Amino acid sequence: MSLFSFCKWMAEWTAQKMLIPIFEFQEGLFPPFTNPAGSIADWLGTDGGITTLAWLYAVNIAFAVGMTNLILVIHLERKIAARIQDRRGPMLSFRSFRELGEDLAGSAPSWKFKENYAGIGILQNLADGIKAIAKELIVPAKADKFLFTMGPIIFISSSVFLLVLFPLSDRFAASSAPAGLMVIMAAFSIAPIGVLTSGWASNNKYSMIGGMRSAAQLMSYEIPLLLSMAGVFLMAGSYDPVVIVEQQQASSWFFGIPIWNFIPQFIGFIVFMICILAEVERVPFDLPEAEAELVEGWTTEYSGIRYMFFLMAEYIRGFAGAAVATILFLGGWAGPWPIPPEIWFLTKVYLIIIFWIFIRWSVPRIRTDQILELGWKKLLPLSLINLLIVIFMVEIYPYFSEIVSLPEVF
Amino acid sequence: MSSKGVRGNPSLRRGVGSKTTDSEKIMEDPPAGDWLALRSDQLLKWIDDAVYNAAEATGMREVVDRVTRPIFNYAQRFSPHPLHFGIMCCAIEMGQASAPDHDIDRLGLVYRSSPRQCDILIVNGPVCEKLRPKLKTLYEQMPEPKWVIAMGECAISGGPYWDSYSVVAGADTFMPVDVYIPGCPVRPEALMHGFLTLQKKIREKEPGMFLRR
Repeated sequence: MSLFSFCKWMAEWTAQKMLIPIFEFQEGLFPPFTNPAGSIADWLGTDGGITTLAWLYAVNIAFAVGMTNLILVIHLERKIAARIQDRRGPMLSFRSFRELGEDLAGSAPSWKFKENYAGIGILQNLADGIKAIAKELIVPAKADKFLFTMGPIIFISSSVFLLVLFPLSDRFAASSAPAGLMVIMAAFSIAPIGVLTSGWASNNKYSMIGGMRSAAQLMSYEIPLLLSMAGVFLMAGSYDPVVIVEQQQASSWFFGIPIWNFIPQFIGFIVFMICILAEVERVPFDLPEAEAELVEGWTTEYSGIRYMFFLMAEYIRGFAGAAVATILFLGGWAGPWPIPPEIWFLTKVYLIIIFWIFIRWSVPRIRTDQILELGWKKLLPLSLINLLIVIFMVEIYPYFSEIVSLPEVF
Repeated sequence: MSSKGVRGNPSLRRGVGSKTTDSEKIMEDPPAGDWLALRSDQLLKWIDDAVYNAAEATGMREVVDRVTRPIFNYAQRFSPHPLHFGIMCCAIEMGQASAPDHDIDRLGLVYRSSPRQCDILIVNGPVCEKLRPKLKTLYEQMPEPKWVIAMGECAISGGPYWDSYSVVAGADTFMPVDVYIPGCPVRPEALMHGFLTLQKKIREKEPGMFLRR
């Protein structure tokens, strides 16, 4: 049972039992004010209405799964960072809810600091988020108010859009675009516009430099990123993540062991991992928010929930980037039988994220001239070499397709 | 010891001297009743007033406050983000508090470099006359709600430099201070205790409020 058929069943149930009676009652109550284009209750009874409702359910489920993973990724980041530095990390425990209960009930407060800080610390994200809602929103006096407000909106909306674009497995998908990965990369490329906008609108020199660095980084990294992805698209003959994963699983090496894309396209895999790291602006490439040089980079002037939006969107982009790397090179959701494919997919994604966290707390940041040199002089030729190898394998070497047994369709 | 300011001066406390911006000056007397003639910001203000008055009149404001106040207070006291700002030797101890021996990240502390993203200003060292306006600016750049910790003798009263011509006699002469941590320098355990004291103060004295103007 796929996610969409489950959502369709749920949509039919809610429409029949709840929505259609409510709308019929409302339309019977106010006959002069009914919709002239037609009754909503009638529309919900048709196939189009049910499908629309089902898509809404599917998108919301994918969004909820993505947000849950976001909380886990932030928690993992802080805990693993602490462990690398021989610390313990945030330790806010669920027992701290006792204080909340006391305050809500109005009883006498108790002071048990040791109990509050004796847990796993996953509530720290909750506390940070709620605190950010309650903070004051400052717009600097000389800032461009419209663009200053629009910057976080562009950034967070394009990042949340990413969550519903990649499938967790061939049955757990909230979108089925044939050009799926192209749409994902297009959504990835919107965010630097938000960065540049907010950097410029803040009327702050550090924000401005951060936004400009983001634009320079985008120009030097998008081209090798897409060229390294082109090899995978050529191999699978499609942009659809489902087809790409099926092709990787279908190409067997020996004794039926599937040969995933990171083995034949090893150069492309390396280039892609470096470029996606720069795309999601994690540490060796976090030039736009270099804390030692620019105060907080392009987020310097943002306070409260706007700053928390930026933080959330960065981790969402990190999660989506790891998911794209998994789909393209690590076989997606393919794996041995007894474990469900969604768990396989999330396992691979989390392995990549943990690898990134290890990189983040191990290596220093590189300079702007180094990032441009790396992008244009090293990664671009390497990705072209990878593309040539793939063309040689797929097109010029015809019997290679018999070895890896490409699907007949392509 | 020269008294450059009065400790506990009510005009220095939070929320008293609220600044009025240009848009607020324009919106001083909106056309009463005729809400079709309002500009968009005036309309928002009008809706805000209407919702607030309705909530106040029906007693909904007290109910919402009673439920949301403990939740916001919980979040505010368990997520302290201090400004990454060091003046003198107490800053070394502040760094040591983040180090593995006294891991202050257990309390959820994240040092942010930008004052816009901070709750707590730690004054850790003697404030000279040259630094005083800068520190005041940093304090004013922080969004509400915000708290100040005076860390060490120099920030409390000037410390060994109490008689100096160039050192301000305590941070509380020009900004409201919530927690004083004595010591010269302050040990990391004392800083941690200071944060727990601030947490206690937030829970007892300053309930986070919702629907407040």
